[in-house]
Amino acid sequence: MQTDTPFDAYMRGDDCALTGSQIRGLELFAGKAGCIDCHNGPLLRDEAYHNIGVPPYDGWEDDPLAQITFRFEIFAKGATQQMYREIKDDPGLNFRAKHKPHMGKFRTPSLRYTIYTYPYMHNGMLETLRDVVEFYNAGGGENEFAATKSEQIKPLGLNDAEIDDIVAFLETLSGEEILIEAPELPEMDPLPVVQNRGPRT
Amino acid sequence: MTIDLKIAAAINGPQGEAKAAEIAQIDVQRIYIAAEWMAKPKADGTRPKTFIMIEKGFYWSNNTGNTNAISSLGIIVGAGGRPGQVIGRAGGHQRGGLRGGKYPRNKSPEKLPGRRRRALDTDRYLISGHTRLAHVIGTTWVKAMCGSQSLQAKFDELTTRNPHQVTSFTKEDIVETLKQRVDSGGMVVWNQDIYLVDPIGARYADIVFPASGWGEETFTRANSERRIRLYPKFYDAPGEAKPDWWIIAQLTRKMGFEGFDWQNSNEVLEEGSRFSRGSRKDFHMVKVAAHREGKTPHKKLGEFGTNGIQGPVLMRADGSPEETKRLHDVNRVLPPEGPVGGTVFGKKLTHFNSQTGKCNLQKAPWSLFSSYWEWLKLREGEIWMTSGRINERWQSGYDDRRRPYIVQRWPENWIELHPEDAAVYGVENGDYLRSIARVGDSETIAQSCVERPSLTPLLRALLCRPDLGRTELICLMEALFRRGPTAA
Repeated sequence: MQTDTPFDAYMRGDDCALTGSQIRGLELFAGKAGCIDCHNGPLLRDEAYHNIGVPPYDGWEDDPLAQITFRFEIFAKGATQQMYREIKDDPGLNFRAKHKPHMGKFRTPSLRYTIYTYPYMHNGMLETLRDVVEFYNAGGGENEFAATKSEQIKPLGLNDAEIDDIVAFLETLSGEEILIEAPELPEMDPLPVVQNRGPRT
Repeated sequence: MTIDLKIAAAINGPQGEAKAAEIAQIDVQRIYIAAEWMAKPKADGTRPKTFIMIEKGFYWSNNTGNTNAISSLGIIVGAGGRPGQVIGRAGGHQRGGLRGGKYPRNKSPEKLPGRRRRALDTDRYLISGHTRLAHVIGTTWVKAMCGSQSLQAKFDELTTRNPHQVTSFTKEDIVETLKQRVDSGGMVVWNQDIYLVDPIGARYADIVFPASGWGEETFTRANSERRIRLYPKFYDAPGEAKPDWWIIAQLTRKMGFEGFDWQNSNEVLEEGSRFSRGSRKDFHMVKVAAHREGKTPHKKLGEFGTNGIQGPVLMRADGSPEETKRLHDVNRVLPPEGPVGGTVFGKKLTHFNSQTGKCNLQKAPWSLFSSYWEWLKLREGEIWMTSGRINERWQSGYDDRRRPYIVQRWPENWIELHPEDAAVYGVENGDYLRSIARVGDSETIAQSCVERPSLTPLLRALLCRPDLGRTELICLMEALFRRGPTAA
């Protein structure tokens, strides 16, 4: 795992790796804001599934092509006729489990190198890290799957300065952007053509 | 159930039940009695617990309609996914293992239209004389289901009748002879099995790899209810016999492949466990739990004792394993946090394994099958033999001649005959009979094709096997046997 981030340096004992604001953010992350309840472990994720009430992608309402694609995906991934016609949002884990209590649940993502992964949430409905923290501060959002919304998501009562601190801390979880160099591709070498020999007797 | 039967009648026509009764040689009313036993609600409104077991030969005829019909019946009566209500196939099959790697299908010599290729048909490839080295593992091959006399003849031609035969005890000479055989268009055979099988091992194999069986090496497997458990070694393997994984590892390393450096079967299990994820025998989480506790999967599975643990194994958020008592369990509540960590949820845990997770009831109308049934009738005093079974004997007994107990108990094949059928032929209990099959007579087939075009695909299949079958049997007479179709 890549650990060349200010946060990892701080955890290794370099007290100067984080600024005062970032350290306050870390304390809020692990305390008042309760982020650590789900974003924990080496990857800062619990590898479990939750519905935090992310609103559906707005393109599914006003972009005809997105609407058609959405309906097709619902159909192709296996849904009942009723779901196919009526559902307005991504059923998430339910595609896999076919189990109503898992409607709209998504896997907690890692926070490592997260400044490069905007826009945020499974459907990209939040643009910046600040939007994300404000979203949680407001107690999540509303979507079609209210019945499965996580009880851990509730208003946090953070003020603007505290939100700034948390955002500052989240930025310390990323190091230099990891980019993959384009590999040298081998020359195209198709398999030799095999002739059909007709039925064998 | 009355409604269901009405639907069945509507699909199958007014003569549906009468036809079914005629085929089964029972009274029509008994079909209704059976239906009531299976599905009529009791006084308190609950339904009877119905358990449906299918003899596996039932779908060996590749008759989808039959399989559809009985699956639908099972679903209608609520069999499956509930305690005491089961639908399943009787008859053993290879169920305990972990699926192996994929074959490189795009290197198969057989081409389909477009870019696709058909998986290699090893029988036809061999009969065409292309096989140079056959590594035969745990199969009788020439005596297996699709084995034929022409396959055996080709085996003879490529091995025992090739001029390059081993006559020396020197390793170099042996290798040189086998190389010459291959270069001359012949074939070298390796046979790997837990006992010597004739002829594949006894006559055709140039090299025999004796493999150890269960109990001769600690290993893991699953039984037919997906119960994964440790089978500890309690016995030494005979002679130089080694586990299959050890033999494969030696060969692959000799061939220059990397890896395959397992020291024991636990290491094989460790490498394979993640490939079980999402399958009915998913035990990957047992390995994850074992490693967290600083144990090997073998040690961890040993702790589950004789009962083992039923796959698929999930892991709860607190790290504890959760086994699967039954698949398609309508009463199961999955953990709310979803498949944590490396756990995989499959819809078959709580639902049907269809795309939507819902049941797909497929119609199996009699009209699809009736023309075949009309054609498939006893003619000119025929007796039909199906493959009957004796509990102690595997299939036709081809692989049981090495077992003295079975050979002494069942020294001959036999045929069950109704006394009235026996009277027609003038035979009695204990008579030595010879049955001759003329299925595949090409003249008859050509005629039938013209008469019943819908049968053409089936008859074409028959055309592939225009052999004349002949069997010697002992007559067993009993009035309880059905007339006509019989077991032998």
